[in-house]
Amino acid sequence: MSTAAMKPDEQVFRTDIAKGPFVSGEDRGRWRLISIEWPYSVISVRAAARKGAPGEYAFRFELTDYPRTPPTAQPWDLGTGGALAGSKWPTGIHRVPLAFNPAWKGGQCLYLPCDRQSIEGHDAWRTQHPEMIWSTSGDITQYLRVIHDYINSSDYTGIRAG
Amino acid sequence: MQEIEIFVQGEGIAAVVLLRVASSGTVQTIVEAAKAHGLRLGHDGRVLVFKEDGDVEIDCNSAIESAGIGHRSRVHVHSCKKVKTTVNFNADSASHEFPPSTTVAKVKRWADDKFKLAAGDATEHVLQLCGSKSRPDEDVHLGTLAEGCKVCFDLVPKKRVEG
Repeated sequence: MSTAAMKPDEQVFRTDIAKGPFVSGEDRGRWRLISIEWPYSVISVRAAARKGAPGEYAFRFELTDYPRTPPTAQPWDLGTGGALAGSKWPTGIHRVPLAFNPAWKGGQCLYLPCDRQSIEGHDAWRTQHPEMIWSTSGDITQYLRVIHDYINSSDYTGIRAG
Repeated sequence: MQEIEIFVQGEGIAAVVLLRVASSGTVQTIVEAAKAHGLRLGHDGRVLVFKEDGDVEIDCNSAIESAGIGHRSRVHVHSCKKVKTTVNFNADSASHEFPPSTTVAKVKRWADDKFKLAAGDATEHVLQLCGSKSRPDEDVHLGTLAEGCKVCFDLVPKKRVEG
């Protein structure tokens, strides 16, 4: 598709993923772009090695009105091209199972302050977790960094059914 | 002419930039290209170029290739030779002088060791700039954050998101 035919949100997203912060993370192996089918983009994020767990998790981001509106993301199954089964979601001891909760909104999003769906009704998060609030002047790496941090922490133990 | 991509951070550059330069150029070419992305050198206007996490200054007149800079190399441009870095943890404090090209990840490892955080505890703490809520990414170089060749962090616990 030519740039002229793209909506502004897609143009900004494609520009951002060619810039230093996204490419730097890709170059370090922290994440990798899988696909863009606007308004969706699937990006995989590397996870710490855990027995019986994958080395990375894919997430499908819904990016309408990016970056003015925060993205929302759900774990994605690259094999089936659909939502990742809850049993395969990442889990952990304290922080991780709260953030990656398949029961929250039917598994449509992550329970994180940077997520469009989850921030609704959670205004207190803006003061409790300012470092995870989506900034319209930032880019998709804001969200990717949060995911990467969770699934590379000592709190992360592997997949739910592991 | 072959072009290579180089990740550049430095004084006045808000986020890492990916520059395309001719591989046949000099290190000064990188400095000039970085100026278009906000590079603003203070402190006597000195221009010091380092490789990431390196403390050896690279001669700006040297050829990019002979300086050991290749495709997707990471460099830092700054006027400070060292950045005095202070990390506060509970009632303790520790300081060290790092080159400006030092990543936040490396400083974090140093602080974990200094304050004897076990591996499990270490990933549950993060460096936060003093007097702010800003938690720079592990990729960021100290020189990007320094003011007057100094930077200060608090080592703080990560909180659960709930409620």
